[in-house]
Amino acid sequence: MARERWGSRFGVILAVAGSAIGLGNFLRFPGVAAQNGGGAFMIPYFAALLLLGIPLMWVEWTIGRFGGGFGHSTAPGAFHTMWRKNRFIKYFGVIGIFGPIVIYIYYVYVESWLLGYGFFALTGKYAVCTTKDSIAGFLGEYLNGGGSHFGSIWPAYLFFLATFLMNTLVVLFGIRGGIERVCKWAMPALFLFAIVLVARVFTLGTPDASQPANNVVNGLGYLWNPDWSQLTRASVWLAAAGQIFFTLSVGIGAVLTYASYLRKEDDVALAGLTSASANEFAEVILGGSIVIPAAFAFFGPQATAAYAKGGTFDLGFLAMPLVLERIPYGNVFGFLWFALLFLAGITSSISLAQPAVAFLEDEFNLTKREAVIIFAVATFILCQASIFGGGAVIDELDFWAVNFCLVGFALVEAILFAWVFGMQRAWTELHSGSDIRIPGLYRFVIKYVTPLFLVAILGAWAYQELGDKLLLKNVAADSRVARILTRIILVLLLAVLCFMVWAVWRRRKNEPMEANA
Amino acid sequence: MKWQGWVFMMVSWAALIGLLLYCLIRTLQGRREGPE
Repeated sequence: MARERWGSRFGVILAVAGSAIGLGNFLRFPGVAAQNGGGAFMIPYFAALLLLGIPLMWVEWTIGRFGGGFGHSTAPGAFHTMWRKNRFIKYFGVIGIFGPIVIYIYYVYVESWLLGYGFFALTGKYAVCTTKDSIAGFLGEYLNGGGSHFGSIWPAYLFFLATFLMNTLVVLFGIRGGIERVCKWAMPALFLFAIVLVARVFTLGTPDASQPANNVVNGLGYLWNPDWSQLTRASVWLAAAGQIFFTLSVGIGAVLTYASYLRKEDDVALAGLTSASANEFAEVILGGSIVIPAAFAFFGPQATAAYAKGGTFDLGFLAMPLVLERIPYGNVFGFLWFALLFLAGITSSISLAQPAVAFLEDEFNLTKREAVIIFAVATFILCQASIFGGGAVIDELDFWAVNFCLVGFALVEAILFAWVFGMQRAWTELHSGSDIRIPGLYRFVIKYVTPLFLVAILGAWAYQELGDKLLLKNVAADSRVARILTRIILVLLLAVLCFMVWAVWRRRKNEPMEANA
Repeated sequence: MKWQGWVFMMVSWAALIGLLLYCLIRTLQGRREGPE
């Protein structure tokens, strides 16, 4: 069976940029930046981009293309080809399939809320909610059923089914016919919607003449005015490193899988840098210019601070609908807002689905249809935990997948690439077919700085959060059962994936691995 | 917005727009500059 390939250079760049550009670009970044020193936050942010984000992007693209040359689209096989003498390294690669599945099973559900809210924006269903409490109640009723707006959980479930089906179909149509084709129209549409919304926010001026300080320019100031005192806090530097890490989607395994469909002579250095720069443009310039300035202009500094502190959902599902329903054609702009977020979401979620599908195809010789059906059935069942388990389940999944799988996986990748594969060989592999020459300084950065940065992040999070999380401190008593059950499911899922890897390699024990590219 | 805020915003925007344009132009050119 011929190996799937990308159809064009821009196709793979848009797909990786689509994977990286998600809800965090438009909702998480502005909140984190505003709370961690505003303009001064950009100093640790850019330092982390240059020392952590971009190097890891190159590492993951290179490992992916290298593994693809041996017919492996996922980390277990790619890692094994890089360190054949070690029989355990392939099990570390399991994180590159496990992590995306765990994120997928709650991300698709959250993505379906955006589809629902886009529909509600057009139909004016939430327009009756004019206060923070009432719109928060609307979201609660949507997710839990009951109340005057929905009556049951069925509307939310139908939007979930539609979103899940869309994701499944895109992956079913393959790399070129599904993922690349969708990203080629979804990403330009996403940028267009974001630019329209930025233009609208910038022309809001001073919405309430009796509150002249509440205007868009001061809203931008709220995000960009530097608070130098914050730079002395280690937590600010960690927040910047964390934001860079999550926004670029490195350490998940999705970029590795996407890069595996490149040919050996295809460039990865420029493509990796281009996808990272597209993500940063979407995050800092577009993401930083919509929700915070708009919320500030309408609600002022105190309320904006409260929304930012409330996090992603408060900014996206409470603040923005309230802002947009106060302006002319608010339903159209509301639809654009949620369509923008939905496109950001679906181009990310399909990249989360692909590693598991590719693993089944490559290692078990299943057809695309068989692999997608198995993946869809398994994740559909697992998604029910996110839908009916409430926020505690999503919180657990997010904590383990994002904080530990991503950082741990990236650390394994960085060490494997620079220390095991060897920096000289890795540098040559990275530059094979390259359209740019990476500054030699990055040999030092990739070998020493990036792994140390990752150890620092992992150590700090473990010190600050792991103990309390493991012992379920500071969580509601009625959510403990759900959290423990979620952990049992995660351990079982990890065990099943490890067993599958063990079974594949046992079967192939005496088969020579030959490059097919 | 304070003048420092304007400076941070403009410098950040200029750097990111410059990087994106550089990458897009180089990608379109498709020039091949292999390793030393």
